[in-house]
Amino acid sequence: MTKLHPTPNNKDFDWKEWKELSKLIPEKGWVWQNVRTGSAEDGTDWVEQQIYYDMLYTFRLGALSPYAKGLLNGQLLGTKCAKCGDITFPPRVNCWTLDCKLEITDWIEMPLTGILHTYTICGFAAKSALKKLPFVLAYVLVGESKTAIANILKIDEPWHTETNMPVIIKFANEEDRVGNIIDFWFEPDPKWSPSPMNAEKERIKKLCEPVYEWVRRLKR
Amino acid sequence: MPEQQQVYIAGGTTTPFDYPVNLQIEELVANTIRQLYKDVPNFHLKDVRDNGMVVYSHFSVHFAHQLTSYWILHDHLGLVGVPHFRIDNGGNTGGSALYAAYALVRAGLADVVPVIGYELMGSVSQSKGSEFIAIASDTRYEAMLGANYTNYYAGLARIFMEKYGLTEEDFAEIAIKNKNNAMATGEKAQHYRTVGKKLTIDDVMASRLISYPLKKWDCCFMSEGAATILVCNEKYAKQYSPDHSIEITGAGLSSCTIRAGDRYAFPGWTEKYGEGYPGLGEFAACRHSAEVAYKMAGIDWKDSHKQIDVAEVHDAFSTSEFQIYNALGWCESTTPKQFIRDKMPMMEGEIPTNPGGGLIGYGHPVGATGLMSAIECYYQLTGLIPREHKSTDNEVKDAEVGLVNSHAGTGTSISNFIFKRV
Repeated sequence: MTKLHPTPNNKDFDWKEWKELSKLIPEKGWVWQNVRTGSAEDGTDWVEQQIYYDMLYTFRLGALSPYAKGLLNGQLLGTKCAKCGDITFPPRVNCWTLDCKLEITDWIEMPLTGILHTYTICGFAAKSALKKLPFVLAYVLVGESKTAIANILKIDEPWHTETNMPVIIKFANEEDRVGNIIDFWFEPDPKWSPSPMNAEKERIKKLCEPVYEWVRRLKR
Repeated sequence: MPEQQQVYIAGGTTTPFDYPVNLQIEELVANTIRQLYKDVPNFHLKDVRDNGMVVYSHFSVHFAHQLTSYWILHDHLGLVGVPHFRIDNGGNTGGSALYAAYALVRAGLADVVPVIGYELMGSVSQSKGSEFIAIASDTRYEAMLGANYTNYYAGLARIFMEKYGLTEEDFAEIAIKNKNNAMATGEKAQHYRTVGKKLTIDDVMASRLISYPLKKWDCCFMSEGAATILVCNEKYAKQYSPDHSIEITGAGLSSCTIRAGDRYAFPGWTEKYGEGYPGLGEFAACRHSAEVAYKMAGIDWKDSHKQIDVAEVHDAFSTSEFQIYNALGWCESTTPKQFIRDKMPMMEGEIPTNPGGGLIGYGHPVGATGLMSAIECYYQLTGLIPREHKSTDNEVKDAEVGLVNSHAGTGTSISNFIFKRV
């Protein structure tokens, strides 16, 4: 018989508990806020109205759930195809090689080490991350993975980040983990030391200075 | 049975691109159609009703605070009964909508297909807007990091920069080229409207760090606006614009991974281009879609820069425009470093790129962007620059063959078209 991803029985979920949890984050839907009117110099009328709208998303991770449970346990789970042998992290629950015909892959534990493939030093980012600026977003090849994964590299002096530097994976404290990518980050391998300062590193350091200042003001 | 037809563009226009534009979508789009009635006097929406379809090009439901917002447009234009659908393909929405119209006319399923693109992005704060756009990255892995597309692109640029020995200044050349070209385009271009002066390499280098190697002036800005382009068969092209039509002689559309990290060694690319390509620094979907379009138009990938007179490409960032040159094959007979230092994509160079200003100079209201690029290229090939631009400083005289590029995600969907003067 063809192996498919199993569809769990809905009876296995505790809906009542989930409903109670959702109530703690009340949704407001469309909520009227403000109106503002005026006329441009040429007499053209304008009206602006502010209306609030929100939603609470539930992400159901389905076949990816072992990956998320792994994060909660402080493990990185990747996938391996039994047919072609390709290993990927982030996981792919079906193989990407066309000849493997979407073979359902096996879970494997990844080592907590990797090589930094490329990176950027962020001087601006999404609202939720502004206070962490400047931070390094790095694409890292974890273990034998044929894919790179993006995550934050925690490094004291971001301008020292280098391609091909070895990194280790660090996890948040167990009580803080949520089964999401934000449970872990990269740090330079303690055995690694950066190459000396050079013109580019000096330049990046200089570009970072106003960012540090801006974030200091933001935090006040 | 419908028969295969040659495909033409007989007209096109954009609204001014700005942030915000203070108009709703139906007024914006009505403005483009009324302008088309003026520019192409023989055009009539009744032809669309009788022998056509409408393809709407719109990216984000989140920005529109409205599902299926093109339903509002369609009956506002007086159209009922006429087939319509909307294309969303990220930043390549405009290119993909043009591709859909091309396919419809090519297949003989429709004779006149206006492609109508629009985006209002000022409905939310700029930071919320960047966050909305980042929802097009894999929300389970990438968006949760607090990064947005500028950060992803900067990461891809870093490895490209290192691979080819490029500097921040090399990228800044591209940024100011596009900003300054937009000064000749005039009041429809966002840079002209909001900054209104030429910039220098020093300005770019001194601007705020966004994500190394990108600074503020290396990036396009959030914009609003609309564009309509008139795709049709030969009969209508002759009827509408006997002196101002171009033929679409090549059209390619390709795809790559949603997460840039997944293209490090993707089997589909390794089989096609060998180990190590594209990696994270190259846009394989751009190369592939260009190869398809070039082949249709009889252009050789490696010699393409000699056979194309003008190009409008998707410069969301100065760095990505550079990566696009490479993917289009323009650096094959030289090196990326030499290509820019020889000023090849400048107005005076061999292949002027983004003379209209591109996204950095003209603006990037997502659903309208690819169409703006196509319309600017159409103007260049039909001698309409003096009519459409503030000055002819950015006119590529006697251009015969043009390239239009539209680009999405982190290079996740890319289209390329070859236009030919008729």
